[in-house]
Amino acid sequence: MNIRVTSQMQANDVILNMQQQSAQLAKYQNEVSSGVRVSLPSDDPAAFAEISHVQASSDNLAAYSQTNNDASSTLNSAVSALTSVNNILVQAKQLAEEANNATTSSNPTELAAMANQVNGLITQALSVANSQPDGNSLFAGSAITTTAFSVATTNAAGQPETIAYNGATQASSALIGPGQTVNTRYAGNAVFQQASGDVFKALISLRDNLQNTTLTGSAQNQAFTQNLTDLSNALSAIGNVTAQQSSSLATLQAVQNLNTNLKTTVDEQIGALKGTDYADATVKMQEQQTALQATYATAYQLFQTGLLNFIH
Amino acid sequence: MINAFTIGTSAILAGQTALNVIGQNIANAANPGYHLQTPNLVNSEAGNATPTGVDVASITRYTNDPVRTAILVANGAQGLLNSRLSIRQQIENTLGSGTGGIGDQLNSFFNQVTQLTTQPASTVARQPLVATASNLAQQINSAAGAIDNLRNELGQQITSNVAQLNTYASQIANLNDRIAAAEQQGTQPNDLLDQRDSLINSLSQMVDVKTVNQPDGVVNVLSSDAAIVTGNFANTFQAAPNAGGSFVVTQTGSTQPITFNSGSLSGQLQEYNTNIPATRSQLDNWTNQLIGNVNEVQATGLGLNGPLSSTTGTVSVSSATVPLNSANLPFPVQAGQLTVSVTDSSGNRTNTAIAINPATQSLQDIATALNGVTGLSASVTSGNQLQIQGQAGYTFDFAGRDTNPPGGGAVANPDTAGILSALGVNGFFSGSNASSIAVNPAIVADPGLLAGSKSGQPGDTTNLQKLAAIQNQQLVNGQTLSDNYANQAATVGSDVHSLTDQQTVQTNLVQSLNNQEQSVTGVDTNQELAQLLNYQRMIQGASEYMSTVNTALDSILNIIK
Repeated sequence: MNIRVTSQMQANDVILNMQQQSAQLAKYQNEVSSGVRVSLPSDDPAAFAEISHVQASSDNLAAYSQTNNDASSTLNSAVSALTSVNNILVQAKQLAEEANNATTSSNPTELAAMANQVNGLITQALSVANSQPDGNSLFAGSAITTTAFSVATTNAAGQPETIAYNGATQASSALIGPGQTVNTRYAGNAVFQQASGDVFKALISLRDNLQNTTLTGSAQNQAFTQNLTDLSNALSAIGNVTAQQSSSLATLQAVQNLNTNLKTTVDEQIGALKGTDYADATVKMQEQQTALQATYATAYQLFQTGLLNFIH
Repeated sequence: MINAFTIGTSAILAGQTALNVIGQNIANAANPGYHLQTPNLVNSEAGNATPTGVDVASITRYTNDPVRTAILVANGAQGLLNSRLSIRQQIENTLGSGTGGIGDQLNSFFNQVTQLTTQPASTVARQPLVATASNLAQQINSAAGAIDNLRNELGQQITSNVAQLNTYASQIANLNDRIAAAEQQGTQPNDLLDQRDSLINSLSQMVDVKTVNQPDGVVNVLSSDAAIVTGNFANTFQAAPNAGGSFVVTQTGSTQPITFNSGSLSGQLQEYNTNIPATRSQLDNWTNQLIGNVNEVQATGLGLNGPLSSTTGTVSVSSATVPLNSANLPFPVQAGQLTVSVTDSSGNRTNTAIAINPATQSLQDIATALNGVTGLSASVTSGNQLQIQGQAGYTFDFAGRDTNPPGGGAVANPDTAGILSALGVNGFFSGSNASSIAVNPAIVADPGLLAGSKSGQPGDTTNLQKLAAIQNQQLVNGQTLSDNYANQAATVGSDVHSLTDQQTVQTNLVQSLNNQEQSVTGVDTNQELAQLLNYQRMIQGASEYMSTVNTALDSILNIIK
């Protein structure tokens, strides 16, 4: 402690205290009013690095969540397309069973009408396999801008005879996590033209048999039975792909749930690291305010008293 | 009896001198460089024990030398902290680390790449991605530009501070001269001493200063490496950048660089010569990794338009005929091989592997090797860049697809040498550091050129996945690009944080030392007012005394009447 205290010392002390307290007060005021404790790296260098890291994770999760939604929506379209194909095959199977009974098989007019129906189903199946719900092919693999299937050859009546696959053999996949992908657009030949069951061949063969007026008796019966087997095989082939896609959808849902939970945790972490602790900041702000007021009051008091007041 | 008038007069004269001193003290009560003065009264004697009144023997100027020395040292430390803190704070701002800053843009870029995997053929979805990349590049450019500007301005400040240092030195030398002359004449140059102390105080905030008192009132001012003022001679200093771009302070007539240990000038030199270049080179290195890694993925993929018909590298070598290792390439090249695929007009594709050895091969050698591939012409441009063109009907790529008709299968890594990114061939970014990074103008014009696939199919996202994976690779100092950038900003933030703390401590220390000095040398107005009353009474008393003596003399003279 100094024995002599001069007014300059008092003034300098008051000024320094006011500066330091005002700076602190402004800092806490800013924290409270912005809700952000760390806005510049220097506010808390260690927390800043951590916040940046966690923020990047949060942004990442948001992006993965978005691709997950997009992938789910594509796969849902694919699954509903496959369900349509499934229905087409079931209808075709019913027609084949109907054709296979004795009364119908001997009635060419009825068979011709059924052949017409099957032709319609072929066109439907082709259209479903070529569907582009978002402007890109669902079943052309990574050749998403290509129409997946086209009629390669037609019969004398101009009806589709063979169907060619124009897409890619590689599926198109979406990134749903770090290094984690899901196939969204399958190669159509691996869906509709599997060795174990070819949708188009099964339908075309049924139509051809229905239209074949030379087929009679046991040969006809055998042909329809074969059609039924082919259609069943096609159904189970489509069923397998549907199962795969449904399983992918379930995975996507699980990953999405995980992402949502993670993002919540990460965002909470960001909030805790970055956000203002209002209780703490408000109390500190109040402290600084009180200290500053005390400084003002003492300054006022100090400069009030002096010998000058008493010399008249 | 006559002595009585002499005594009275001496008291009034001494009182007036004292009032002048008090007046001067009060007038300078708020002058920080002022030193308290008090009159020293002595009773004068004629030598024969007859009292002759009072004299002002001298006027004492109060000083506190040990504390002053400590203040000069503390000033230097404070000057150093102040200058460094202000510069670091500016750098913290230039790194744009907050929301929407470089770190955010980088994350946004990679996240948009991730999102593109669900609609890889969409040129509409590619546009915002390219826009984000351009924004990122521009922000990096402006951060680098801001750091460079800051350094240039700092250079100017250093020059002007050295000029100021010279001015202070010559003013101090001049005062030394005048003080010595005054002391020789026996007068007390208190005001000159105050002026000199004040100048030395200012000087001590700029460079480290030590004072040595000489017997004739002269003060020599020394810095750790050089004498600044010796007697009435002031050394002059100059600051100029050396060949390495560092600012060097030398004494006129000498080439020996001078180091200052503290003070604002020392802080500025430290930032200019060491810290700012270090911050800048971290940013450059980080940007270089970003460019190199993104470009390597881009170069070994295929865009929506498929193979290329021509491309020119964006990186120039210093000489096309020296081995690549000596050609000042901003990106590394290792020994390895480059597989180039050439497709003819009928869709037949052949793969050719070219061995790359940067220790022996020059850019010209690489061009010659590529030129030897059927369907390709390759050359070195006048700007020492690699130019590759497909001959009529031929296109080429580096995606490493299987040949057509199928042959040996796809090549997993078509560029094990890293030569494509090193030469900037078919890159996503052009440039090699923070000030030169930009998105390849061809990709800005046609975002379809962004190589999303390995197979050339629009829905193939393999290359996009590779691009997105860069985000999670530990590319700089064992950290991801995003973490490393945050770390750079946090390092500067940590500097600012610790400098702020040190500055607070140092400011309080300087304040406390100043108070300590003030307790001796400062003016206490109340004390002066009390003294004022004291001398007022003295003059009143002396006047009353003379009046009484006069009355007494009158009475005596009345006897004669």
